[in-house]
Amino acid sequence: MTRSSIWRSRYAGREGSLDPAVLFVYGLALTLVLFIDRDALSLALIGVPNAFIGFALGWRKYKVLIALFLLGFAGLAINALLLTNVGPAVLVVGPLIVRAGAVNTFVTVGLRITGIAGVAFLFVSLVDPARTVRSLERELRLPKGVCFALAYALRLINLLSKDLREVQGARILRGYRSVPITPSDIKSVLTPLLSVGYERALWVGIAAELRGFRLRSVSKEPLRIGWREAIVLTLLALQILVALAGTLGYLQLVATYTPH
Amino acid sequence: MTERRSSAVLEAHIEEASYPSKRGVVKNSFFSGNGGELTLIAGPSGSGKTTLLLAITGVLKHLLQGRVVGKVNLAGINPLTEEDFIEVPRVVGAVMQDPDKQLAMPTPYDEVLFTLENLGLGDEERVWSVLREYGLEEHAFKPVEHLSGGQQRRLVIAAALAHDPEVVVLDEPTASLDPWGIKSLKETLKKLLDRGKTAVVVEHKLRYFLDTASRIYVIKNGVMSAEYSRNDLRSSNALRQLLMTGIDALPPEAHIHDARDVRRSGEAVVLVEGLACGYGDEAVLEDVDMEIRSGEVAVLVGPNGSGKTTLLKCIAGLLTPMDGRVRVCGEDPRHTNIRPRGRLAFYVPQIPDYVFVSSTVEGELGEVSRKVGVPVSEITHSAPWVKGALDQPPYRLSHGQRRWLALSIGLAYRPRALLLDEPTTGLDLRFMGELRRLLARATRAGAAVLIATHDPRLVAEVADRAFIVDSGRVREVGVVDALKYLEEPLRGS
Repeated sequence: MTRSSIWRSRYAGREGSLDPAVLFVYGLALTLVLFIDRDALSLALIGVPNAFIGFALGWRKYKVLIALFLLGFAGLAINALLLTNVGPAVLVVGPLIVRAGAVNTFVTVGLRITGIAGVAFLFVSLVDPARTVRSLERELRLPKGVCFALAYALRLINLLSKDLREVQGARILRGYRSVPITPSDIKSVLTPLLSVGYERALWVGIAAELRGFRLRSVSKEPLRIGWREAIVLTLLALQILVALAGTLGYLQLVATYTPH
Repeated sequence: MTERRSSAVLEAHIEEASYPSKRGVVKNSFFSGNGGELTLIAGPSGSGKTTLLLAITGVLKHLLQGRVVGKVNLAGINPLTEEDFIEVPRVVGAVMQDPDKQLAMPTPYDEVLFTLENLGLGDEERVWSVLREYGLEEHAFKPVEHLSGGQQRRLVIAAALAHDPEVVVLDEPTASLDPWGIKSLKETLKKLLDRGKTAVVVEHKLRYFLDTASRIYVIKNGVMSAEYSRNDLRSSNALRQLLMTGIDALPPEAHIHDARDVRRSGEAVVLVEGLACGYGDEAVLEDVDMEIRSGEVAVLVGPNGSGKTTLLKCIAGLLTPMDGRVRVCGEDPRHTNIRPRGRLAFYVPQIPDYVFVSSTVEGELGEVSRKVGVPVSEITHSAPWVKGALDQPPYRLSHGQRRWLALSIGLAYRPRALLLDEPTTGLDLRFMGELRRLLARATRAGAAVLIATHDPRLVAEVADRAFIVDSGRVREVGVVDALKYLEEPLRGS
């Protein structure tokens, strides 16, 4: 087997994996569901499994981003305490009284963003940008500009990770914290990242135009539904039902009348 | 200026071209190119070369909202009109500076396919043939972030020329390319020219194209100031004139001086013993032994992706060795108590932007001064242009200025080992001179300098010692041998 044929078979293997369009529909639909759903139980039922799978799949490539996301819970807790600390006291820690409102907000918002992040990591871990462009524009018939922007955003996650490592290296040598803590640290880490990111976005756009992106004609194809896609869509339907049940209060009823 | 050639495939007469925020960056510039001809555009940094290319391709007017007044004919279309601009990709293959910023897709395979698909030429065989031609077949499905700077450059060129365009426009195509990549590029260009295509190349290192170019246009302060024909280029007088304009047209051997005998008297600063380093479980380099002494300038030369950057990062303590050890002044750079760690070994990356921590040049200089106690005036005394750029973000400076700033920051830390990654990419003669002065300052202060480079000019001018990095090994050679190693691939091309 020649090297080129090995690569080709590898590429063929890639083509045989889950259809990005279906995964995109799954991700988008669940994100909307998680935004709308206000019931903690259904949020937990949807958010936790997706987060578990998404974080597990994304851990190898995106551990820094996942760690940053988890750090964000500290901010969420502070916000909940500052803005919604009302109702009966649930916990007293020294002078700090944590009330039901803050707990409810922390749990609801926390589950919601965890679920959304999980779905996002699930998506970015399982698809590659090039296939996403083709699949979204051909099968879902989304505008090619939107597909390209989305695919590039997916690629940008890897690039940002690489840039972040380089910036952290330079900061260590210059005597600054490599992990930003203070607002000034965060600003000085974000500034080069954003600057390089902006330049990239600008020049990639120009390069794409010069390479005929505007001339790109899209042949339409039907959505490819195999057994993998069928499982994903079934799971999506089930989760929408769970969210619906939660929003209508049925889940609370089931929980109340389930004998312990 | 010569008379206009009406039969030219490419004809550009730019009366004025500017970005939205500036006025008249390029003025009254005319140039042309016929089928089968290579036109070179040369000029010092900031003279308007890139702006000119952006103007003639229509990018400046239609994508950057700039102002372009004039006439352009690119293989029968006028990119300055909206209707024709859409057709530009069919007839033009264009590559701008900074390859890593132009890659849209995750792997080389997808990158080449993207161009072909856009133009309705999506053909797998053609993708493989293009990748093969540019030596990227083995890396077809490697994430582009894992390619070296030179490999990314090859990929950008491959993707831009995959559809066999009538006109080829290249901005600094040899920057960060290894000699084999330059040879391959020259061969590709020659093939294109033999098939009657037209090429326009903006380049600092003219010597790579002197044998191929039909004419050279010199642009200075935004205006075409001279034109040289192929016959003119055969005379050393023309080359000398180019040199006086700040354009390097001489072979690097011309710069070799005899004053740089290897000085072995200094103390050993960098000591590498049995080093194996790489990423994950994959070793890029193995059994590396080297010693660099105080006041020495050593260069690492080798193909793109051979591990030069990996070695520099390992010495700086930014990568953990897989085996063996690295010592800088007897200290392990990863676990030293010296603070900031840059005082021991400072690594200046290929992309200087990563080094900056402040949003203005003034802030940046202030931070350095505060951190290492060096007065700002001492950092800036060799660069009067800094005074006019204090309130600018460092990221908005020109390529050469950004390199200067990153290097000056590194030097201000007075490191014992200064590690530079491709410091001459995109630098003109003026900034080369600046770089030489900064390096001289570092070695006078007793630093050991290690530079990863493909630039024979830099090797010839500053190296005391040289190492070849190839096939996972590092071996020391004489400076002249290193130059021959860099020049050899280009002799036959």
